[in-house]
Amino acid sequence: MRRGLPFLAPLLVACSGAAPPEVDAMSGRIPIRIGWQTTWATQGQLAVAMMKTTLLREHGFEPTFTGFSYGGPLNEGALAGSVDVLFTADQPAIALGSKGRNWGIVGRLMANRVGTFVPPASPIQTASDLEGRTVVVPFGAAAHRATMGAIERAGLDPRTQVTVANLGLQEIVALVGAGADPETHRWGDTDAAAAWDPAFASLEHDGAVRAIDTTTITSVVVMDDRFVAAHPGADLRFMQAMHTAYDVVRGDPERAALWFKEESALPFDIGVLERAASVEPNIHAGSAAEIRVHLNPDELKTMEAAAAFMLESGLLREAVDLSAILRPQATVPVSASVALEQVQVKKLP
Amino acid sequence: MSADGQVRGDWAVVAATALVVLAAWEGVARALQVPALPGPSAVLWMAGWLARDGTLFTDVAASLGRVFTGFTAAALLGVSLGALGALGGRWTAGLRALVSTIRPIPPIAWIPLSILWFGLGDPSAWFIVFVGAFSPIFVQTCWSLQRCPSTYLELARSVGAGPWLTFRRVRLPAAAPGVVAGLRTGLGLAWTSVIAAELVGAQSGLGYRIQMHRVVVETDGVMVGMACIGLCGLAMDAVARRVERRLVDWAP
Repeated sequence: MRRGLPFLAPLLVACSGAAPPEVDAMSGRIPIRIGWQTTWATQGQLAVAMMKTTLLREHGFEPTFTGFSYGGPLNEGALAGSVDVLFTADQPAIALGSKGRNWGIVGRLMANRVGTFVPPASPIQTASDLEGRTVVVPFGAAAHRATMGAIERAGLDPRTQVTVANLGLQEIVALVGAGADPETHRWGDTDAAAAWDPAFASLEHDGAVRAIDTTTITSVVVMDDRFVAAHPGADLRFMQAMHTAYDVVRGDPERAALWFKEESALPFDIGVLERAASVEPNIHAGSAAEIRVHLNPDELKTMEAAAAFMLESGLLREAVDLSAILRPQATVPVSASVALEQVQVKKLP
Repeated sequence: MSADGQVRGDWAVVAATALVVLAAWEGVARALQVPALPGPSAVLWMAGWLARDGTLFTDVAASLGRVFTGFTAAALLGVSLGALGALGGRWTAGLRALVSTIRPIPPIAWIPLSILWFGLGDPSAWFIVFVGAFSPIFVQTCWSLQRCPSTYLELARSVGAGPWLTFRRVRLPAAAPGVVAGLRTGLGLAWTSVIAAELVGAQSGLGYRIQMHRVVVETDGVMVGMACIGLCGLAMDAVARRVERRLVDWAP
């Protein structure tokens, strides 16, 4: 038994969730572990703005960043105690909040696009033309909900009148990348597909697809309650830092896009990121005062619809009370607490 | 101790080990109380829940059906082409080289092509299972037939046996244990492949169910899927071993 304990120790630490990091005695800053998604636009520019500048230090944090491929592994990282704060879409945030009782939404991250699209020469013009057709979507993702919603708004029943099939995002990109049949204007036996930015924007930019529906999804900042309990006010300060991050990106969107492209090593054009960011009002704000990082009533309604969809589609077995996942900070307006002039681009070591 | 007594003893050890592992797992899960590590009782509860609404059986049946179809095709073609590769000499060197080139490509890499070629339904998954199971069956059949001891072949020739009789009565029996081992390896890889295929592009099956549980962080559901894969694999291997004992009961 004594020999077995050392082998059990890492498992126990990993599963219990590591304790929140303590304040660094030398700098007085709070170490914070940020989980971000390396293949997700706009959020990517915000994360790299935090990474490449001193803005988090100016807000009293000493950050470390961990990149995840998408929301699923990021949620697993959260449950394993590897991150204190994470950037994620509405559905993964609801899933995490319903499982890990100590995780809550503390603010608005961004608006991002999900699109339903067809081959450019397809006879399908709108969602109502999807009757009797096959659409592939990554089940469980916000794009799944967006496509089902588009079909319903077109007056069709997505369960009986359209074949909605499951396919991972990478496989959708590969399927579209292989090109449509010049005679049938289909990808194999698929008529339409759905994806989110930057994959969607990239396919659009390359002329590989034509969008028939575009929906905007609200994404959020989720934080570990234990981290906030250990560092009171950290949620507000982090959202103030997010406000400043928007100001940094807004000031030079191309620089932020280049930073993100470099960090993610994704082979897309900078124009793709501009297209993806086009739905985020903060990027186009006329002044810092117009930047909003709290959730408004419309966004809360969208999140409620997301929770309802997850229950209806069988992703969740029990209804989720959104108010139990929302922390007070999430709906409180936040303004900048640090002058933009104080924020410096970090020098290369 | 008699053979029956030995078997009963082995089962008792297996059962005792399983009980100890399950008890320790339950203890750790109850002590930690975290969603990342549900205990066996929680996993069992979830299995019951999935069984009651029928999805567990639907998924097991879907995965089993895909494994059976893909593996059967791989077994028929793998053994036939493996025999051709072994006996065709230099004329089939190209076939052997082709299989050697395809062999290192993981089945999951074929998924985008399989969807384009066979669509989103079962044929795509059958193909992935086929790709996963075919290579070991081909290679093992080819290798086993090529390595028939020369003394056996010389003896057959010395008693006047023709090529067909030599193949049927000497080469094939000598190669049979190797061929059956290849089939068992192929069966194991068929399971791995079907789960890979279902994780990204299926509408049912254990891999699909694991992915759906993963999306909503239901670790207990993920573990139910994993346990089902383990149990199905174990059951199929037990059947394969029984068949092996019947077919090559003389092998060591």
